[in-house]
Parts: sequence; structure tokens; C-alpha cells
Amino acid sequence: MNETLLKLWADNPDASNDVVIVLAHDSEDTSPVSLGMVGYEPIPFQSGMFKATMTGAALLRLAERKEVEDITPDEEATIL
Amino acid sequence: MAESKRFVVTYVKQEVTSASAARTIGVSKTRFHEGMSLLESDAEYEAKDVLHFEEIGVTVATLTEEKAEELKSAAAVAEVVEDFEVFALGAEAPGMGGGSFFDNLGSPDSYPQGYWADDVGIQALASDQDTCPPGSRRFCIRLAPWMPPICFCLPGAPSPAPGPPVPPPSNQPLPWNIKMVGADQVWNRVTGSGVKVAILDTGIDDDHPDLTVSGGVSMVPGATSWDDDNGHGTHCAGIVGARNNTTGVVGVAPGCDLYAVKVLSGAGSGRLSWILAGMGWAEQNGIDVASMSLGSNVNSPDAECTLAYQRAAERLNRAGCLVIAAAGNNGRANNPWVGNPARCAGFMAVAAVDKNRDLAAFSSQGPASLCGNCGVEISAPGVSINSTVPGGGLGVKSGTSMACPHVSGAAALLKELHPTWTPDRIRARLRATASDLGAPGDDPGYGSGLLDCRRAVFG
Repeated sequence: MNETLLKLWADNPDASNDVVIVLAHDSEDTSPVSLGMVGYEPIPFQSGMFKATMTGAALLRLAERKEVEDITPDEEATIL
Repeated sequence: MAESKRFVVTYVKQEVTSASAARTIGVSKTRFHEGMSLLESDAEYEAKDVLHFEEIGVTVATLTEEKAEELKSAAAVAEVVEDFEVFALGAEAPGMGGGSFFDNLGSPDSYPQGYWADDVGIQALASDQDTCPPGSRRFCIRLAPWMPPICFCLPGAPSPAPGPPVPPPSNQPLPWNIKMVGADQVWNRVTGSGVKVAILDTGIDDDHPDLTVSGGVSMVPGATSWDDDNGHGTHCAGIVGARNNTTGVVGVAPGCDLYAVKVLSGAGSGRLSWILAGMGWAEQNGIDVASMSLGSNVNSPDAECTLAYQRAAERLNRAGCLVIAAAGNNGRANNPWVGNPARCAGFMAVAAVDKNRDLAAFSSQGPASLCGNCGVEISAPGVSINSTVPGGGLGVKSGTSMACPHVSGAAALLKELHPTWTPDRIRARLRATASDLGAPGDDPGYGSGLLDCRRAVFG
């Protein structure tokens, strides 16, 4: 997990963040609900990946779960 | 003791495993040898050895006459005939006397009358090469003069000899960039036919007279069609596969099947989640090459790849799809490093060169030594590239976005020639046959060098 992001979420626990959550390879059957996620959406055609809008505090809790391999901002890419 | 002879057993089924054949003829499976492999290796074999041709349902074995008679009435056996004395027929193939059986077969044209391979009991026949898929060779054998030939395709054919370039129709000048990568020099052999190339971008203009789009999808919220509302995707699509007709330009692989996967909005940007969905669609729809002229910058040479990109690319690779990405346009900046997703494992990062083969100033750089797998792998033209734009016309654009689809087209050419090759093998072939530029060998700017379709296809 990206240390800079963890610090950002810790410093802004109430701020809202659009993220992509990647489950660990052996946890693809894990329900997002069982991870405490609400308002999530599966990413079409990508099992084990979800997008969600969550507070920094919620993301910090999620980052500690062993079923979660990575959390990254739903960042923007552009034409090159 | 009953006399033993060599018999040819032909089964009812055309494909029979050695285990099944061993049970049928009552000979230990340990004596079985895969016939083609043994012949190809030129290895010695003894009378007790059984040659089994699984793909054509034939076994050649030493049997007693009683056993042979018994087999003739077996339900699984179509015919049992005594092996025959081998003799030469017609012209001997050029080059016989050294090398393996199949090496000696040479081109089908070189033995128009057929010949008998000494002590094997198989006649190799001239055959119609075009009935086999690219990357394989067709062989026909006859096990006895009175038997009909049995034909099959073998993978792993040697690269064909280069033929003369086939110029596009005279009404269509050859773009300098297509000429620079040598694409026109392989169209007499491959055009990307039957290979599915997805352009993950702003969409493709389906009405453009120089493009044929086989299908697509939009992952952009609010955009219900994969039509191009920006122009970037249509431009990239033309570089990959503009048709070889009498209008517009021609792409690297003019015969490929183009798919529009809209993951960027009309503003030319898109969210990671949209792009991941597009990559997943490509996996689900059997795409062979994914061309991704998009990305974001990173702030340090050893910045981490976005894991979600890597996971999605690895899935595509496992599904047989090569993923190619633009290295980035940050070369002039203080952080000129290859961006996301090109820096992730599973992506082949492409840099841009100009008409003089010089690295474009904007082209982002590695080096891979600083970050594992994040460096530039190969270079292609990316400055002042003329290609298709929405509305039916042409336009000039620059960027590593334009370099990327050249490599995607080249991958399609190789995929047509070698349909069984894995993405990694195609990737390695493209790199190994690139023309070295910059510092000798791999370097942070050019990677392996300039894409060379002619060398990639013909060696």
C-alpha cells in the first residue's frame, strides 16, 4: 500500500476519496460487504476489483484487511 | 514361433492416443514413440519400437501374423496391412542426405512428384500450403502407394523467405512512417488478417471510409456509443489498420480486425476504473492485441506501477493478448519517466521517434534499471504522423500515442503469422528484431530500437 496515500487518508479522515480497490488473488470471492464497504460498484469484467467513494478513515480500516491487496485513487489518464 | 513382421495399423478414428492404441494392439505403451517426433529427430529405432501417429490414427508396429489377423476384426481398427518395401519415386528432394526428415522436406514446391523417405515407409507429397493456418506447414503422407494421402498441419514453421514488397494501390501514397517500420514489405505475406486489435481510447469513427470497425464498447459513463467524440482514437486506429485501398492512408496491419473500446471521454481523459473495465472487455472478447495510447505521469524514476493496471494486463496476457502502451510525453519535463500504465509489468512501453529516427523530445524515458520493468522497450514513429480523423479525412498528430499503434499493428502481423505464439514471445520477437538506435543495445530512450516489421516477420 502506498505510504503517501495512507498518510493522506490519516491526515484527512473525513474527506471523500474516489478509489479502486484490488482484492488479493486468493480473496476474489470475498464480498465487499464483508469488508465493510458500502456504496461500492464492481468494475465490469474485472473480478476482484471495485470502485468506491470512501472517507479516509474507512480506507485506512480497509487497508488493514489482509483480503485487500491495494487501494489506489481512481486516477485520471489522458491521451498521450 | 510365429514369424513377426512390420504392420501398418489404421484405426477407425482419425485421432487415437498412444495409450488407446497400445491397448488395441496389445503392445506395451513403453515401446510407443510419437512417430513424427522420432522421424524428425532422425533417431535410430528398432523392430520392437512402435511408431504411433496420434493425429492421423495410425500405428506402425512389429506384430505376429496371428496378431495382425486378430486386429483386422477389432472394432477400433479399420485396416491392417503389412509394411511394404520402400523405394524411391520421382525426383529426390533437394538437400536430402542431411538434417531431419522435415528439414529435408523443404518447400512443397521442391518435390512436386513426391518421394519416399528411406526406411520410414512414408511418402511425403506436394501439398497446398494455403490450406494451413499461418505459422504452420501442411504435410501430406501416404503410408502405402494404394492408400489415399493423409494431410495435417504442423506448427512451428520456419520463417518464409521474404518476397518482393507489394505496394499499395497507386492512388494511395505510402506514409513515411509505414515505410520506416517496413510494414509494406511484409504485406505479401501477412496483413494482420483475422487478428483482433482493440484500440482503448476515445472511440473510433465507424463511418470513416478508410476504417472498418468490427465492434466495440463504451465504458465512459454517459457515452452510449463507442463513436469517437475526440479524434484521438480514430487517429490511432488508422495507424494500426487503415485499409489498403484507394483512399486516405494505409496502416501497419491493414487486414486486422479493429475494435473500438472507448475508455476516454470526448475531453481525452478517463478514469482508471473505466480503463480497467475496457481491459476486462478485451479479455472477455478474445482480443489479440490491446493498443493503449493513454496514461498519466509519475514523479520519480522508481514510482510504483498502479497495481490494478498490472493485474488487468497480466490477465490479458494469460488470455493471449499482448498489451502495448505509449511510454508518455513527459520527456521535456523534470520527471521524464515512463508513466502509468506503460511502466507496469505486462505492458510493452513504446517511445516515439521522428522522421530522422531521432528520439522525440517529448518521449518519456526509462531506464528499466531503476525500476525493474518500467523502461522503454521499443521505438516507433510518433512525430507528425498523418492518419485518419473523424469526418472521413486525415490529420497530423504527434505523441507517443502515435508510436504505440505502430507496434500494435506489427504485433498483429506476427500474430497472423504465428497464431500459437504467446504475447511474451511476440513481444520478445519485436524487441529482438528492432533496429538499434541511440547507445548500443537497450537504452533508456529508444529501448531496443526502431520497430522493424520486415525483420520481425521474415527474420
